[in-house]
Amino acid sequence: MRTEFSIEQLQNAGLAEMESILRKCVHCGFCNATCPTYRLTGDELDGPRGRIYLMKDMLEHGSKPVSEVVRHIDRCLSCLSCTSTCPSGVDYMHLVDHSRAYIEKRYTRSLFDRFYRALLANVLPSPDRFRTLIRLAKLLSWCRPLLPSTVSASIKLAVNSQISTGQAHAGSVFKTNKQKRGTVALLQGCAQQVIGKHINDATIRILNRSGFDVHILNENECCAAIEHHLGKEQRALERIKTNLKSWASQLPQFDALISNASGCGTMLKDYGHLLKSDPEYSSLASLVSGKTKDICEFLHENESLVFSTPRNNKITYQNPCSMQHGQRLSKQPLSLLEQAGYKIESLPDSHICCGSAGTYNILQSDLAEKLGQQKTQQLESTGADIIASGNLGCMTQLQQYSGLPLVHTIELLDWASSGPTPMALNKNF
Amino acid sequence: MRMPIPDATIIANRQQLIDKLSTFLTSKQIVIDKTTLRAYESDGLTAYQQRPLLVVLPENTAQVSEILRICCEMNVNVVPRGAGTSLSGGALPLEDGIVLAMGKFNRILDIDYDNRCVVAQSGVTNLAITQAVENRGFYYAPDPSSQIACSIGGNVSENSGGVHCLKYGLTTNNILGVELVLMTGEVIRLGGKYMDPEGYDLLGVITGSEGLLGVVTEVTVKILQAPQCVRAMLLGFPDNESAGQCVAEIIAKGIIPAGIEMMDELAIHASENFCHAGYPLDCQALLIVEIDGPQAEVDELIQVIRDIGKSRGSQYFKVSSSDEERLRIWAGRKAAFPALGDISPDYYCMDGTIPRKQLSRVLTKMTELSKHYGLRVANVFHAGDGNLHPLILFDANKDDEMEKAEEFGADILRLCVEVGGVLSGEHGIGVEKRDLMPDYFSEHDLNQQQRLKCAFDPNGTLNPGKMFPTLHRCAELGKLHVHKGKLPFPELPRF
Amino acid sequence: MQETLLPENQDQFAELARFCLSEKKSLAISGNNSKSGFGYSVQADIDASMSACTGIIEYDPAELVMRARAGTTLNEIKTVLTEQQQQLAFEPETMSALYSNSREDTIAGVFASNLSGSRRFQAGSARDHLLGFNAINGRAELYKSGGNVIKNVTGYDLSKLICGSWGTLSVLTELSFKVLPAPAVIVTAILDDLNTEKALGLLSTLATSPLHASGLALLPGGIKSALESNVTQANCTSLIRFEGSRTSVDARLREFQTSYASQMSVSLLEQDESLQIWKALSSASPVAYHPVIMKLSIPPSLALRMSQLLNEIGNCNWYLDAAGAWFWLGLETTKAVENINRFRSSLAEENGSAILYKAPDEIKNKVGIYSPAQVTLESLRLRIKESFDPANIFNPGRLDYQK
Repeated sequence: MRTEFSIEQLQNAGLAEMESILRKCVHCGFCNATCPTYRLTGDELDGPRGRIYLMKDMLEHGSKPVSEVVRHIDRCLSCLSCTSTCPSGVDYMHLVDHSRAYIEKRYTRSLFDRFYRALLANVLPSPDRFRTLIRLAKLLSWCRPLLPSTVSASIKLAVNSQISTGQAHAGSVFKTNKQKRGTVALLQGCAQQVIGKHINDATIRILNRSGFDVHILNENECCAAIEHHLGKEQRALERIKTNLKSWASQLPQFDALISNASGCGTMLKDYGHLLKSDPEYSSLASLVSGKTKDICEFLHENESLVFSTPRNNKITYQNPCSMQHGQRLSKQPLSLLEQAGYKIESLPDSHICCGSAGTYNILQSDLAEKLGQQKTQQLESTGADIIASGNLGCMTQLQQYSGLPLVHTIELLDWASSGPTPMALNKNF
Repeated sequence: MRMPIPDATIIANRQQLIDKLSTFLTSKQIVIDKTTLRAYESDGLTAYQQRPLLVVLPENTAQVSEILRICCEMNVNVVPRGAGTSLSGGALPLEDGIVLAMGKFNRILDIDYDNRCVVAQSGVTNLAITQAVENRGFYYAPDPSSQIACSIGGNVSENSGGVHCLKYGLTTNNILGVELVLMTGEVIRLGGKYMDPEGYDLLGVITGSEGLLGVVTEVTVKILQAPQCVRAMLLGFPDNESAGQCVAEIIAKGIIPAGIEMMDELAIHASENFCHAGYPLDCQALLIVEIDGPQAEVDELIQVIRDIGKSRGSQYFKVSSSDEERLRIWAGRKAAFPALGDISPDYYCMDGTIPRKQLSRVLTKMTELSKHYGLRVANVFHAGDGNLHPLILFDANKDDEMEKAEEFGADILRLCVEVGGVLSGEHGIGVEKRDLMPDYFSEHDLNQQQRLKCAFDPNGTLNPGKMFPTLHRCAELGKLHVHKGKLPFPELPRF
Repeated sequence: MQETLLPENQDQFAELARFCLSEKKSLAISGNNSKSGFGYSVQADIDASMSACTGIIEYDPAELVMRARAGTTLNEIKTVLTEQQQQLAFEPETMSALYSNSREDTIAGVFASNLSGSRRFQAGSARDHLLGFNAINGRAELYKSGGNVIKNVTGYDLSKLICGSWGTLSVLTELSFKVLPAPAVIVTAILDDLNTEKALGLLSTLATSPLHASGLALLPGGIKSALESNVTQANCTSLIRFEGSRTSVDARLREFQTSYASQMSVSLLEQDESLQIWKALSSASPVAYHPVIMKLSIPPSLALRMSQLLNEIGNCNWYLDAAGAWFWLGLETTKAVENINRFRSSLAEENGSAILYKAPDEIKNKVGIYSPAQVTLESLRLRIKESFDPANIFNPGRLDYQK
């Protein structure tokens, strides 16, 4: 597609990168077909092609974003379904990330929006604050109907979440009692250690059982995805650098950095790109990205897992967007679940987002609700008894709508290899 | 390329139009903001852009009817738009016209297996229809390469084809009925769940009318039972000519494959790069031949085609061994256009049809033209029906490349006409080929077509500026000029 | 009877049309008048026939296209195509039995009347095969539409409008149409012991089976009724046609017998017998002897109900084709008006068409050859007619409702 950047603009490395992304788009419109929001509204402005056009216009003119443009870019889930569909190789992710940061810098949101986005950016990445906020939200659930939609959506999510018991064990090491095959590091995830510790526990058990020592990565609370997607570019970069600094000395001993929340995995895999022109951190960042593996990807590659107690439950698998579109991992989790004996019911429109998308189900609650309901209806139409997913965010989102138990893939794999029954299944299975 | 001169009064009355529309549409259904309107300024053809007066997103037929009635009353131009994937600029907006975007018409209304048909709103994508019925072994036959995104209403307007239309026909051969809103706001239904409607075949003439005769809101399509067996073959050749001869011989032997596609080297590489379909990279020309039908027939024909290929010097032969592999082969072909976006910032996709025997002459001439203009050209070709898709690669950011590409394209189309072919096989005329129409049609031909337009839309406010290079007023076209005729025809034989 | 003018080429016809325009004369246009029984009677000042404009202009079998002049006979075209193992896939057959004459159909007549045969549900009708034409409009202008290639969207598809317009829009002078390979082998499976309901069920299953049967008909009067006129008593016979290469036809027949007709007695009609019976079905022969003939085109799911209605009415003969999507129906003149209205009202809007192919003038004038149409649609049709023939000089009144 034709672009109109000035020579001066193109001297800016960031803009030059955006220009080269935009040039690849041929405006064919294939992306609209698989865009969850376009499918809901049928409006070009709510599809990737329209957003690309709006971003192009905004960046070319270098102007202050207008509210209508911001509205439609905000409504993008960053699910990257479009990127999987695009035959021309348009790197939508970095284009929209850049534009979010652009908007954050130049656009003044309403006072309440600013407050609430800052609140999310400050609370979610911090386990302690997050835990406190969930407790508070649960207390406030009675007044939900009186509150703005964003607040109300947050409270609903909180009410549906359970705070994990036991201490997060940052920095500790879990040694394998099998023949040792290597050493890996586990990223606990900021929110996951608060409301999904059981997922981390299952991951550690499975890795140990497969012959890997597991070091709990000493994270600086969060991988930076939340701030990054809220367009808070500077803060995200600082956090990434802090993470890199604190991991630098340990890194060489790890065969892989394991992520079991695909949202975080996608972020870590992008560290290298984000810091590619940073003289101090570029090589470290690309080392981290290179070593990052989703747990399913890692187990699939290592073929070391023995399913000693295979299961035959009927499950359907909800592939998180960050997994299937962000990291291009689709076969691995399914293949592992099949090896573990599960009967997988195929899910229609499995490439469409469930509406969770980081903070999307808080900030765009009405679209998120429609997507959540749609996804739930499809999940339940498969006739499965259990929904498996690879990302805590999706699980929390779907829990609001579905009566079926939501279980992380890794818990199911753990269960089939002599681990305990997954928490969500305890009641009925 | 010139569009009709915008009417300043209409533009000045924009607010009045918004007020009228707002009485029955929500604010989310009318795009007013000038920045966001820009996202609608092009369809699949980005060479031309025009910001529309407004974009309106109706949700049901009653709203479409009311919008058209108001526009008719205020003499506002209307540009209908489906998924905005037209490659001929069929949905290029007008400065003084609204875009009627049918994106919200995305529901399948009825799946009727007993009557072998599906009723869908016009914004439903082509592929979604097949997906809705494939679990029962059915499919909708026309499959344009953009089928993942293009809408069935758009397919009707453009009479879309695809890679299987040699055997299964174009849209026009695969639909049974439509609901159509005329520019006056009147709603008519043509056809239904049966084959032969009474009187003039209006359904037939609506199909392929490029949104100039009415707005399609609902379509009844035929669905077919998937064949028992489908296999795709890849045949690689050292040159285009042998591949072309192979196609001619297959058809001369009385075989009508479900699809025969030809790709040249550049297209092979670009598609393989995106799809990893397993195309051989050392061929100058690749044929994809798909055979479907009863197992015994398919097995028999694969052998025949393999032998024909061999006798024409094929250097590579492979038959798909699974449906997955077959679909991957097609995915590569279907992504061939946009995949070129990865090797060239812009491409200009042409769409002429030629008598197949002229292929070699046309390709040779095209190579000459390519040298002359200094622009690369990739070729993707529906070889069975003679529909060429040369893709001219260029860089729109370079000064004159866009103009050169356009001239190159026009030369190719003139060449198609010269060898007995036509300007468009399936993409439509739109704005892109509009000014070439006189190269193919005489004034009488064009006037007759425009008179038909007048029968549907006497004020000419539905999608003006498309298809016809010069717009005549209906009153002027309708005048009957009577010349003194002479009988008695002494030379005319009589019974 | 007034004399008939025979222009020998399109220029002569254009000249004739110019004369008619300036002298305010109207023209009755025909080929060989083989289907002149269709429509209301035409009252025109001058008769003209295209039967002297003949000859195949271009035919290259590998291109799958033929171009011929309007008056070329269907038989000549079929003969030439057969030599190349090709055919007109929409299976046009002469309607001369229906209209009690022995005149030869011209190719322009085939398209102007949008003929089609039993393969209709798969191969379409004439309108699906006309690629382009030259014609003279009611302004005496020679114009063309479409082209000589099989895939073309250049300009409006006027070929569709011309097909089935019965010479009321323009006078066709040259036509390009699609030709396709003819099957080497044709075999018809005959089942005699199924009642209508079961037979319809079977035909409908076959219509969506991958066996690709290219003819699915039901003859309540039995085979004989198709080949000999006025046979009243026989078995209700289902006919299932398979076409293709020997290997393919044999394989499908085997599968048909094992998977669809295992408990039934099936007899086979080989090549020539098959050709004969389907030719009869495509030309409405089984009901041709009736004075009033209609063709109903309906959603196949209504076929059973329609057959019950027809049996209830009695005094009529029918057979169905295209797996229940078509009924050819022969009626007696008594109560014809009442019965036609009854069929039409049973096919409420959108549920089908009921075209009156043959009837005495007084019946045509009472019920119309077409069902009454929506007002908007009717006025649109008139505007279309006017856009081609503003002075109404071509076949005036042939399709106009005159109740």
